[in-house]
Amino acid sequence: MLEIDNNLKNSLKLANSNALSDENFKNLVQHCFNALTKKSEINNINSLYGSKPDTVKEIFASVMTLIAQFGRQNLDPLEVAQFLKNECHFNANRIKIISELYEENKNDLLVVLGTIGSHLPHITDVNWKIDYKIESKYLEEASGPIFRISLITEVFDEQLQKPVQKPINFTCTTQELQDLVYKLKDAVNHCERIAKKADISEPNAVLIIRILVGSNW
Amino acid sequence: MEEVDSIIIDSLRNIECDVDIEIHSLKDFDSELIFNSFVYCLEVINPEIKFPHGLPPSMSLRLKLATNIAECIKDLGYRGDMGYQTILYCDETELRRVLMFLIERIPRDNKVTNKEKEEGYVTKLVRQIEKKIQESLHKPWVPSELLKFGVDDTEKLILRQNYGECFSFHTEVVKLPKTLEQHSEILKNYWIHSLPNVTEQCSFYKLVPSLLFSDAKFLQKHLLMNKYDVIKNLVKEDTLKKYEESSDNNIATLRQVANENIDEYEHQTESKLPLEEEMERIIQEIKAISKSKLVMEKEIKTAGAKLSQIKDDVIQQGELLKESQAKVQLKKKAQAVLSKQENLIKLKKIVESGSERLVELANQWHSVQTPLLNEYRSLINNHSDQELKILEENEKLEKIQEKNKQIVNEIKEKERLEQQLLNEFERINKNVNRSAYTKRIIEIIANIKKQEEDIKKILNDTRAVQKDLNNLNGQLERSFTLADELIFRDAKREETARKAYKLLATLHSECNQIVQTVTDLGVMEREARNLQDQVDIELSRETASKLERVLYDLSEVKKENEILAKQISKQQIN
Amino acid sequence: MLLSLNSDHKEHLSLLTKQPVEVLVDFCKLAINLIQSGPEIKLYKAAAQKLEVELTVIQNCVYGLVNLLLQFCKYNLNESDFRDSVLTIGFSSEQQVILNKFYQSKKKEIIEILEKLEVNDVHYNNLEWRFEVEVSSRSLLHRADPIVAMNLNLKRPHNTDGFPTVDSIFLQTDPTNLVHIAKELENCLQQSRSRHFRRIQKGLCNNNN
Repeated sequence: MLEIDNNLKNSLKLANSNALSDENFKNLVQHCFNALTKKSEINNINSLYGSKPDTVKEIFASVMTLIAQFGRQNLDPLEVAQFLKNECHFNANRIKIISELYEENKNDLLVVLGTIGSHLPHITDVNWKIDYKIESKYLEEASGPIFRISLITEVFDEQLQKPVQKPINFTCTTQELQDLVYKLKDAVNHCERIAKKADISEPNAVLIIRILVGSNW
Repeated sequence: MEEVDSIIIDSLRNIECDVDIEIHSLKDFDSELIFNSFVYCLEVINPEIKFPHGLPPSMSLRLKLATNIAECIKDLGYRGDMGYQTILYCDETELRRVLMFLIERIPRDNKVTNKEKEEGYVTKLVRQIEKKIQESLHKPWVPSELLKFGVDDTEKLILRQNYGECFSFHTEVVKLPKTLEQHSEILKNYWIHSLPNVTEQCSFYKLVPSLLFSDAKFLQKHLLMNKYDVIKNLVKEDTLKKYEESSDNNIATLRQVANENIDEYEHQTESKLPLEEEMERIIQEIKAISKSKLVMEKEIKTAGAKLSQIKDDVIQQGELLKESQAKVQLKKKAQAVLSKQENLIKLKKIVESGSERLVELANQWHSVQTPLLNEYRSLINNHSDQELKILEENEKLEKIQEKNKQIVNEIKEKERLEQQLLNEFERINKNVNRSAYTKRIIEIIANIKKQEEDIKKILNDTRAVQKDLNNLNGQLERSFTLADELIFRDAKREETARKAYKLLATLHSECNQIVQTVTDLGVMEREARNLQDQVDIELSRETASKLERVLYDLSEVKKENEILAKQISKQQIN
Repeated sequence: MLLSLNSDHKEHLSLLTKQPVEVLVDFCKLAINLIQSGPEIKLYKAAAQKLEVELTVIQNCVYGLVNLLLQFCKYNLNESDFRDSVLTIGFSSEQQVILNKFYQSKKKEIIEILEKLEVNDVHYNNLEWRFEVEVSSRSLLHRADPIVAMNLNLKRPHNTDGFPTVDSIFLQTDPTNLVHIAKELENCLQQSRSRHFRRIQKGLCNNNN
């Protein structure tokens, strides 16, 4: 079950206070979701500051942290409402505001949270062309098609702070391409076999072992 | 029958058919409820079947729906009389039969779904994985430019198709105001006016990690302290010595190189021109002069400092002089006053009276002070007593609070237990019901057994009677043939015997006829009884009234059709 | 097609045309030796003494023979073209038979070597894959994201030192993209076997000849 530290709990007391009207509070929570899921470019909460910019800043940060925690634990809106009621003692109105917006934005939030983590370059597309060698310095005779393959990969560039595309170029003869296609289709078949298991239930242990073992390494 | 009814109503409620709480028997079912209960049962039995809940107002629609439902029920294998009229105008017994048939066919999958919910983490995960792979294998490919964070956000299930935007986990220290705690005004001002919002303190990609894991961060101070500790440890270790040794060596070599360089340099300077020597001399002179200038400046400074000190001294001395002059004048005046005798005596008297008064005042003070002091002491005592009491009270309070906590915990525990027990109770309740039913069933079976025995007895009796009958028949036959033979023998000789023989023959045939009619009568009676039964059944079905109803429905439908036809013709005219 | 040689080359080979068949066989052996393990001056000296000519003449002759072989292979001459070319250079028909044997035995090997000397393309070598599922991460505790991780081995025919090298590139993809990529590449392969493509191939060959 979700546990939050006392600092955050303290800050959340403000969120349940009269520092913000219900309408402004809803506005602020919406801003929280927008900031977390990068929905709109401008996330200006200055208009909500009123006479207490420090309090609003604190509420903003604490509510955002709380929402991120909910997403991290993959709570459903009901569990969120329960948590707000039992652990944070929010009033019914605020609970409704948060849990409704949470329900609305949960999928986007989970997507963003799932995006955190390093990965290998990800293949997103492939380009190919078939060349035909007619003549070269050393050989006059044509010797069959040459496949120029370019795997388009994407990876996050930490310096530029954005994803960049990086092509991986190589050449194949017919035999080599045949081998590559064979291996890729093998992987696809393996996936399909696992997917078929969704229809026929089998002992789980067997399945897991198969998932881990399924490779040609 | 009540039990059967309650079972049926319970099952209907289980499948979320809305049966009123006040309804306890099938007698109370109105046509709307009957219709709904059929529909709900069918929907549960076969989820693909969909009917509207609630009777439509139009008669023709009603008929259509009812016929469909009747067909569905027939398809399920119901053998009794089933048509639209059964559904719209069901009597109690028929309704009971149909509902029992339907409820028997409700799949018991509720338990199965529960089981699925109780599945372990691994099973759920595996299922999720399978589902995701299945979905993503069949999903059409989309260029990564159309994806947001590598996910096609038009889909409900999150299927990641590009990890290109997956950024690695980095946190940054974000500063947040803590307005509920006590802080200096400056810090508060900083929070209000200068502190940027969290979203502006770090980039989007660091926002979530920074927020989520701010508590997992080492503070800068601790880190620094750690570094110092490490260095201290290093100093203690031998490594430092080694390091020093190696650095000594380094320094030695460095020195050597430096010396060599200097030698070389000197060697070069020897061959320099005299002009340069001259210049060097002048530079040295300038240096010496500037040095002496520095010294002089220093001297000037110290002299200035001394001067100001002396000035201060002079001022102080002047003040002292003024004070002493004032004192001298005062003393001079006193001297002048004291020099006269009268004045001296007067002064003495004043002094005496003053001392007397002092004594008096002291006495007075004493008298006032003592009671006050006493009071004060007693008050202090009281106070300490009270403090003790308060301490005790505090302790008591703490104990009570602890107890309170314990009690609250106990209450929670008990509530949990209560819930558990309630659940169990519910379960047990069902069991009780079941046991009642089984008891009932056993009773019924026992009854049936008894009846069977009775029937067997009766059967035996009838068999015995049959045997007797047969025996008697045999005897009769035998005695008849005997008599027949005897009389036939005599008949050849005597006329009376011949008559008797004839009479016997007629008697025999007559008796046979009588027996035949009696058996025929029995058969007829049985048939009559059967027919009566059939008539009764037909009567109970109230076919006549049903037919009337059907006729009424027909006329209703016709009316509706007419209205519709009229409307159509009107529209056509329009 | 007839192979025509420049005058220097012809002159270098002129020594051989006058020699008996056995000597030509020896020279062929020398040429094979040169291809396989580089020049061996000792053998050339012996040959020079035997034939009573300068060492450089022998050397030129062996190099000329190897170059002739390379030229033949480059144009991939068939038997009749080969015969005509050899005869025009001035070899006798017996010598032509020896040279043809020599050519046929070494042709495949030499073409392979020549192919490797082509533009230094990175070639596909091997692909290994592993199916993974990401089930939890620090910021999202419950997840199930299937991933196919891959180790793509690419072979460089010769690096700066002249040796072939194999690079490992680690990549990953998801099932949807995997299906897409497999389909695309299969399509590519299919295209290369299509009638359209074969026609082009044929046309190119014909133009060439």
